[in-house]
Amino acid sequence: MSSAVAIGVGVKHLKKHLQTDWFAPALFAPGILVLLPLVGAFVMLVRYSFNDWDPMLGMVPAWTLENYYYVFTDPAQFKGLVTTLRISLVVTVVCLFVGYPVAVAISQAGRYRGLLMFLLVTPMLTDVLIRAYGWMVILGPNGPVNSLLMASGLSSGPARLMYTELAVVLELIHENIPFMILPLAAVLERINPALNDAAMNLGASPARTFFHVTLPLSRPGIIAGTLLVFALSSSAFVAPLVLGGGNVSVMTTLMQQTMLTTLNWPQGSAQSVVLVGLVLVLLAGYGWVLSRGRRTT
Amino acid sequence: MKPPSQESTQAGKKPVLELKDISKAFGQMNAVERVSLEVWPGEFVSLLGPSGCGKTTTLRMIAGFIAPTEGRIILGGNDITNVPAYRRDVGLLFQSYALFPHMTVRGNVGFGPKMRGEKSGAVAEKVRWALSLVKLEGFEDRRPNELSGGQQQRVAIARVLASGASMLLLDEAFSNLDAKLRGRMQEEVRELQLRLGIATVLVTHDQEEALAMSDRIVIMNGGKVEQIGTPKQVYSSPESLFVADFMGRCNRIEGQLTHDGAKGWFLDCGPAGMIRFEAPPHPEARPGEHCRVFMRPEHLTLSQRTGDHGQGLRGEVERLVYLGSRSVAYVILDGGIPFQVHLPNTPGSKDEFPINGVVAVVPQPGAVTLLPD
Amino acid sequence: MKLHVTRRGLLLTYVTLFFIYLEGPLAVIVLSSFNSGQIVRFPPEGFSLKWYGALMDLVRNAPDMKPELLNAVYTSLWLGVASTIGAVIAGTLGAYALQRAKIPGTNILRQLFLLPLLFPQIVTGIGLVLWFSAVGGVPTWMRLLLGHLIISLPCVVVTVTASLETLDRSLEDAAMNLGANRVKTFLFITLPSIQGGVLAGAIFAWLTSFSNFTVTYFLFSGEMNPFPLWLYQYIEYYIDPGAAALATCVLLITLSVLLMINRLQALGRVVAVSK
Repeated sequence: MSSAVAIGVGVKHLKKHLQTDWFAPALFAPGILVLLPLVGAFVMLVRYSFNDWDPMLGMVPAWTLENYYYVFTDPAQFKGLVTTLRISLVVTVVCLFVGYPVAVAISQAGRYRGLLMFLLVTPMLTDVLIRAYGWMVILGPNGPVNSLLMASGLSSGPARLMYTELAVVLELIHENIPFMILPLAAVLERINPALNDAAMNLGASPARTFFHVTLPLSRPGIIAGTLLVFALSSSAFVAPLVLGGGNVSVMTTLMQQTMLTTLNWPQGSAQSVVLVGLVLVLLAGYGWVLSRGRRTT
Repeated sequence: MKPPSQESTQAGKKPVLELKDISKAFGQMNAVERVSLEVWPGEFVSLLGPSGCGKTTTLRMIAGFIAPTEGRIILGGNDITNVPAYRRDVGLLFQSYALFPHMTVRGNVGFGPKMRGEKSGAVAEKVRWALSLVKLEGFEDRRPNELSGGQQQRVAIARVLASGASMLLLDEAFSNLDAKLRGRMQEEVRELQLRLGIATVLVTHDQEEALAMSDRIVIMNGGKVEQIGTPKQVYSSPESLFVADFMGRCNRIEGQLTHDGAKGWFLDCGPAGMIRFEAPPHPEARPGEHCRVFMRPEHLTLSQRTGDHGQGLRGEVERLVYLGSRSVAYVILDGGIPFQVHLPNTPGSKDEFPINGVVAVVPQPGAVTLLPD
Repeated sequence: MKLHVTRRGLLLTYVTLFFIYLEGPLAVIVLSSFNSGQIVRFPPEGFSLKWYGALMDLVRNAPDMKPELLNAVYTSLWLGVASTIGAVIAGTLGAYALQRAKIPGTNILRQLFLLPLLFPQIVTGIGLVLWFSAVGGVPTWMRLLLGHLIISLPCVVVTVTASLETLDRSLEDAAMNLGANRVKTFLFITLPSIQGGVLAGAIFAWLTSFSNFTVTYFLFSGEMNPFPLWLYQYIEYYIDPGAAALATCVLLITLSVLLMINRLQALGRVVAVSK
């Protein structure tokens, strides 16, 4: 008798389960089908990063931490890591200081906001390679910078600007500065303008108002933009490839060499995992700042 | 719960819709708890209550957008508890009208019959019929955004009617209209409903709307049914404090019941004085019993004669507000209880109650109603 | 008051200079494509359209370059169109499911669907190389298509999600109430209501695929050389203004596509996700 009741209850539960609406979940299928290889590929990268590599035999299945050890101790790789972090840091700091006033202007632009946004986004959505080519022309021996240097007598012959870390940094600033400005402008636009008026009304000078009201309130935007630009700069590939021209070794270009030239897949996998780890930590911070910002407003 | 008058008139008929003990829980919260209701052919029933009382959830369960956690829903004798929304023929009129912006009026009104697989000739015929009912012939090729609010609502009504629904559900259907248009649409819809004899359930938080349109009103609070009855019943004989309060302003007071052989029953309300009852307030009334009563403002009058024992409650006029058809007197009874009294403004009426003047609040016969516990 | 005016003026000057800097590299390419000299030079030596003529010749009959450039453009075009179609289908359905599904794990799936936006593209490329070599026997066109599908899918997911968020849910309820089942409701009501987002997503997806370099770099092969790769190889070896002329053409396409998105008032949505 009691078992019959139990079965009855069980059937009822099963029925409830079957009643779950499967129409919407079923629509995940095509997207999952597309993204599954990416997940599979990353799982594979992680597994490969623990494998051994032999110049003659190629990849040998193993469980070793050697590849990760090399990422941080091999002079070339360590230098690449340091260069990556240095470039990203410089790019991020410059983007913050150059971009902040632009974000302020956008947040106060009123009816010109659409135009400024369009101007900001246009280069962002242009082929990276074409932008890099633009910088090749600008920094090239026959470019405007060198013409100016020579015309002003500061330099007798064309200075070598291309294929330097400076070229990479300049391109990355140009490439990533919109990603600093957009979150900053978004935060600045949400600041109640009455707060500035209130501060001024209470006797604060414009400078004091800025440092005591606007700047602290825009902190979520600063953090979000900084993390985003740092993450994007450290995973950039086109700029170091095209403008570094082999003279600037960063993590991404080293990964390319390891994978395609020396064919040391386990080492390349370990480098990939380290880069992903760096980027994911930064992006997790970015997501955290965003969600906190949303909660407080 | 069902009033006897309904029972007798509905003898031999079957209800169009039956809700049998339906409940809906969202997580730990019970949005609707054991609601039972029968809607009879041609009847107009309102679900009335404050926001969050479960009336909309109930309506959405009838329409099939939400599945009840417990209970059964029976439509025309068939159990439709597990029938998907698109196979129930209950027409829902949305608060926002939910007209399809990318379709013309013709497309909107014809959508129902088309989805139910009717031939294009039959669809066109239905569209013509439904638009003529709402007097919108000639608007077939307009888009919803080219129509006024009232016209949009008519299209929504036509769309529901064209779909051949066996009953109508109205979800706060008039709250998006301005006051004047709202009154007219309420009248029109009620007239149409009576003409078509289609059973209808209206969800509203507006008690005047419910009183004006309904055959019966279901008052809900906290997911439960408080009372079901005709407009008159719920207004004048509320079965709970909540219903009494929700249906309109009520002046509440409590006191000790006394009985004086010759003069009848009195309620001794302390410093404010006494109220006389025509008959015992309830069959088992005992002298000395503590009672709570209420009176509607329009069932009270003011008098300057304050001396009579048991003729009314003594107080002071604090404020008089002129509202055109009537004035409202705010009276503070001796003892501090605030009362409102509606004074009809007749052509000859003078301002006879000065501010701070001492008055007696006199209930009209039958005005004092015992409050349920 | 006077101080206020000068501060505004200062900000205006700064912003003007900034946007000159931001659009500068693009302007330099356009201007140097009209150079009459043999090499890219700025300021240009003289005005001439000869490099556009040379481009035409290249396309028409240059014996060594013609097949490659035409092939590259052709490869990029079909790749863009095919991956856009796939991304629109998978992305639209996915965005709908993300908003409506009430199953556990939906939040993880949301992260998954947006992952390729911010995941380092070089790792996507390298990972896919390893994946394909493990699977084996996958032809180049399929590798490229899958790679481009992955990176353009989130573009559609984001724009369609934005559209779905502004969609009046009662429209779908009304359709169901009038007897339309799930599929009919989706096709006749939901889809027409979000078509702006779907279209913006499609344009954005196409742009992403057409201009992608990093992922493509790891998946292409000699016989299938998409346009960005061809351009890269060209500017590595030639410094004539022909590349500038070619880049100007691509810029023109990009700009008109962006204006199109702007017309759809969807630039904001694109901005939110770009990259």
